[in-house]
Amino acid sequence: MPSPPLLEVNDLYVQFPTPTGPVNAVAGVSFTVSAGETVAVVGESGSGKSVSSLALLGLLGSGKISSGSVLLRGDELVGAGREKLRRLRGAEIAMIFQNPMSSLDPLFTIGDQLIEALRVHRPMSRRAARARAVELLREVGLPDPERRVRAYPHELSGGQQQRVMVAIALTCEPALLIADEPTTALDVTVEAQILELLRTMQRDRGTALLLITHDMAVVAEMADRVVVMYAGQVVEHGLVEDVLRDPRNPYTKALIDSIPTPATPRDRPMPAIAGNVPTPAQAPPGCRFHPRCPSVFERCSVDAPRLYQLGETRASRCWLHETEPSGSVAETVEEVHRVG
Amino acid sequence: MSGSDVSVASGPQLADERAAPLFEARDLVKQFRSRRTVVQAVNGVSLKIPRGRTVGLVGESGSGKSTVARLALRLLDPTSGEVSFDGVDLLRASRAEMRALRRRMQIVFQDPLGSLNPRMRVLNAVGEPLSVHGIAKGKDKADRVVELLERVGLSSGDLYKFSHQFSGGQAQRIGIARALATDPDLIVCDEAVSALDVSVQAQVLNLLKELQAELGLSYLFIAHDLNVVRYMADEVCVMYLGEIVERGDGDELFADPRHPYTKMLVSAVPEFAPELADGRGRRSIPRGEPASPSDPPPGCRFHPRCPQAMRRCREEAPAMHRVPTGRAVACHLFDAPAAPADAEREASER
Repeated sequence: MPSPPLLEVNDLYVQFPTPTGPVNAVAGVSFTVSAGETVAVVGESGSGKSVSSLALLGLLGSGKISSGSVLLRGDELVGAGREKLRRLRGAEIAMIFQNPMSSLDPLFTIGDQLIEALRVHRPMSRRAARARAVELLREVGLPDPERRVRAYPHELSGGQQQRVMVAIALTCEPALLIADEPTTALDVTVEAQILELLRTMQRDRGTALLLITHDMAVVAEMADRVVVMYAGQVVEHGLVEDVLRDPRNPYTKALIDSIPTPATPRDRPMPAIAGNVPTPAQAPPGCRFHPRCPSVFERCSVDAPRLYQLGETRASRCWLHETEPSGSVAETVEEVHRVG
Repeated sequence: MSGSDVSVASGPQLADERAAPLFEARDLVKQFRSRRTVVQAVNGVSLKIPRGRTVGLVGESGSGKSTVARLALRLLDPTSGEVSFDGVDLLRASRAEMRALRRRMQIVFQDPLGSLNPRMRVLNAVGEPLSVHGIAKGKDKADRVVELLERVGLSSGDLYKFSHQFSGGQAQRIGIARALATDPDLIVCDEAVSALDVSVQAQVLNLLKELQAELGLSYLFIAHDLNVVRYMADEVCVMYLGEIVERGDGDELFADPRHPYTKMLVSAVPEFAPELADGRGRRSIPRGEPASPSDPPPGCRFHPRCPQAMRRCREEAPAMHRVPTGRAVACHLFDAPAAPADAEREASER
């Protein structure tokens, strides 16, 4: 029997109270992450990508998981007690966020914060912990770690702070690192360095990476598999090279087309997606993408499509797969152009 | 108004490259002083924006691009340097002249919701410049605001809404409508699409281009995303620590970056082309981080990160050199015409 995936999320619903009643920010999300693998969850604002990842760790604030299951090595996390989640957050899963400055305590040196994290997970002397802290800082590429271990967070640049966050995440040698927009606040030259650091860490330690991002270029560069989310749902998932080269879902295709690249013709309009990204409270009936979809037909505004399995590693949520189970959306769209 | 013959025929196709530019900045310097430090935010920036054209500024945080935006509109006064708009010296203009000129130059900011007053209805948010400049009031103002809303893809039904009732993309359309209210010649777009979702960003870029074609607008288009700036701009200026290090056509900058910093920037942009999904891990990893503008390195400001730095770079700031294909580069590699080709070849083989 094959070993179960490291992380298995099944039909997850996350609800937030609003003045007009509860709203599902995440509505039936499923995905898996295997040991050592990088899975990217990509989506625009309101897609539910961050909420999904926070839900895994029980960090939802006013929101709650209303149904679904989250298995870590087969062990159910939904409904687990605070103490158990706390232990897991330290030992098995670590998380880094977009803004490292708000995750670090401005009143303590980064050495203190690393030492605290180290000693929470494993009993060791302060002296040993300090030595380990310097070692970790060196490992994440912070220049001059012996001196920087005594620095306060504000004395470091954004990129250096994010390196410190990675070092803190590594203190518990997690099996899974969740990185929520880890480079979004960074300049592009620093982003390249942090992504390289995450890749190296993964290669050397075999850590699985769940990368939450809005940036398809980061997905292309980092991930083995990608989960595309729109308005609280998974609309497509598959191997990165398959999804990027031949998106089957109209939203994925339109999203990819709307990204400016060095090859985008300057004398022509950008292929944009009409309309606006809906908030979870405004999710339209039927297919949630139908008001903006170039391939929309009657059924889309009435019935919500299911996620169609297209081959072993691929799935897409679109009624087109019902009528043309074998044809890809990309092909369909091209045919339309050829006829027209 | 001087040069009125040119400003009448200011459509992009009609713009004469040799005609006086709409906007010109010469050797702008801006230092911010605090008790202990002097931040050299902008250090000798010159640029010209022809009528109906777009000049793009791209750079990382601390490069000084937003300070240039504020200097261009004289929202800040430079420490030294000159700024002229349609032949008028902005730094010597009287208050009355400046007020008249402000109608003709507008700005669109990054955060559309943050830059709109949350207590103002759209009618007043967009119509405020009309009132301030005494252009229209009452029914005329409302008519003009509706016209502007329709122009940016909104409708008269939005007139009495508040900004929080809009999504980011719609709010940015309101910001653009407000900038258009006074019928400007120049709009400074300071990271105007950076906070938008990518599907909506494309809509707003298209809108800005349509407006330019229709109204003959000039843009100073500032962004950190090189791909976006390349798409929008006729000329791209790359900034590093307060200085323009390279300028030229966006396609050529991408295809053949000459300044070592431009090379670093171009190679750092995550490769996104579906057909290139296999080429992962190919990009080179930049080294170091930008120095602080309050303590810039001597000589060339990029030298501590530059893979091709020579002794001279540590001592002497490079001048801007014209290189073929309408490019200009501030780098000592281009001092002697014979040397750079070898140096570059060497570097690329490494």
